[in-house]
Amino acid sequence: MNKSKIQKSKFLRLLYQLQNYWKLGWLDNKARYAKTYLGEVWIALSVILLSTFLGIVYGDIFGSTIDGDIKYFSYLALGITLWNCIADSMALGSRFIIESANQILNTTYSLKSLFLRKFFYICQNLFIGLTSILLVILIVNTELIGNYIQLFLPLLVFLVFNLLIIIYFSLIGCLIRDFAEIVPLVTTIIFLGSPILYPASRLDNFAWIAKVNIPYRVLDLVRTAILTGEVNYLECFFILIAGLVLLLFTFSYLERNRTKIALWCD
Amino acid sequence: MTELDNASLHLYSMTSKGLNIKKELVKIVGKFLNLRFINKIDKNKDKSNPSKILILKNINVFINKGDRIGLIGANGSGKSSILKLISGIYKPSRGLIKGDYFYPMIIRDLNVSDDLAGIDAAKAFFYQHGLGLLGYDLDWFLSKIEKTCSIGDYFLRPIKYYSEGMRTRLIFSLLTSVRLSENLAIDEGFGTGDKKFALQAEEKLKSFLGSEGSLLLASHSNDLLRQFCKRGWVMKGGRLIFDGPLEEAFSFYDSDAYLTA
Repeated sequence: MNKSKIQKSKFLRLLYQLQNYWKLGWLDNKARYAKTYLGEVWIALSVILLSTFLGIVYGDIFGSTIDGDIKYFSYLALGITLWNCIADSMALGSRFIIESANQILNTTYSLKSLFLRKFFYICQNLFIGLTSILLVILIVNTELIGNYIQLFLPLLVFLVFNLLIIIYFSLIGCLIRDFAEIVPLVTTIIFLGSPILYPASRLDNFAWIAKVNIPYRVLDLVRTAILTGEVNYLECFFILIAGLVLLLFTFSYLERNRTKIALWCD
Repeated sequence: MTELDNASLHLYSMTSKGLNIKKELVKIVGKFLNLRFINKIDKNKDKSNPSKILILKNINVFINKGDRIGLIGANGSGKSSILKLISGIYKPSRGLIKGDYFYPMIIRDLNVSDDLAGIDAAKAFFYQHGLGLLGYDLDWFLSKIEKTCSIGDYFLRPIKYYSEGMRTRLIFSLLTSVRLSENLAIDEGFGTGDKKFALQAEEKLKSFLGSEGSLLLASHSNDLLRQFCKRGWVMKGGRLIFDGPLEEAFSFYDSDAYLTA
């Protein structure tokens, strides 16, 4: 597109800038796999290997299918892939401002740009992992292909939720330095307490845990959309609008208080 | 034109402010068990280590277009903080900044991992500053950086193999590649390059500033300050204690008046 057109339109400028942050996130991914032979292929390979291994072990316990025709592998692989994204957002987010202190204290880069760069880095991992898992699921659960079209809205909710986690965890991690130490523990507890490895029906009397577990509920929106094709559009819209409003408010707060946050880093 | 009107800056020490879970837990348990000595220790600690630290105090200055100011002062006198204040990285806790902000050339970081190459650092700079939106072309930008930093094939090699001088060349080339502001705030100059680079850098910086650009340069090197600056500020303990011609600022810094100020 003509550059002058981009410069004139506020919306196109925003898209162009988002594209820049996406490229910055990709540079971070490139750096992560710089010395490996397989490079970014590892993102796909690691979720497939993990899901296959856990699928074999836990499939023996929970059975090869759940809730009818859905293969346990599909259920587990989606859960693990989506959970990895949430866990990454929590872990990277909790240390983010502290680790970016050099840039916050010595440049005028907007905090929004730093957060979006990290967010896109995590998104790229999710997209590669999720795409590869969806391709594998096509082999084991071919009939689910029709559900893939339902993915868009729940995935959007999931992404906004992850961006909010990165921002808020980083702010808390900056104010309370102990927070980053407790996050891996909390992440593990939430993971084991959520029906990710095991079917939700196994919770019996503890089903309420899944209901109050917000990360799990957001994760389940995406997983259910793929596995059953069911999407609660009202719930998704409500969460998405609330998430976007919170995000806009948060970005506005961050820009207004950049210098204050810079002082928190010192 | 930029004006600092009675500007002061405070920094907050988070650990002494008490936002520390361990400290809070000890406090709560101490109160619960009625252990008075814990609260006493805590109070004493707060007195000796206040959470609010005064970094800059009542700075009143006026910077005209084209002013070249050298910042002189011992370590911890507030030179870097005033650069950050004038660049908009910090905002004054009291007082005001009026007029144009300066572009900070403070960072010694390339904004990418050391496992990536110089060309990736140049791309990162291009994306981070949204130079495409300002009408610059990425390929043109990359070839310009490759040419100006003069590090040869190393431009395509991982940054971790760069010498300190090569790294400095690359950072300097990036920061002076595009005029993002007419006013520059530079910390400690670019002293790690070789003599040839120092001369190139001097020329580049002079042409970059032009006749209108203002410069605020903090350095311990009098020679470097003499190369670029006409006016001198002497800082001590977060206060600006002298503002005048550079040579007079050097004399003041070496005089008894500085010690008693």
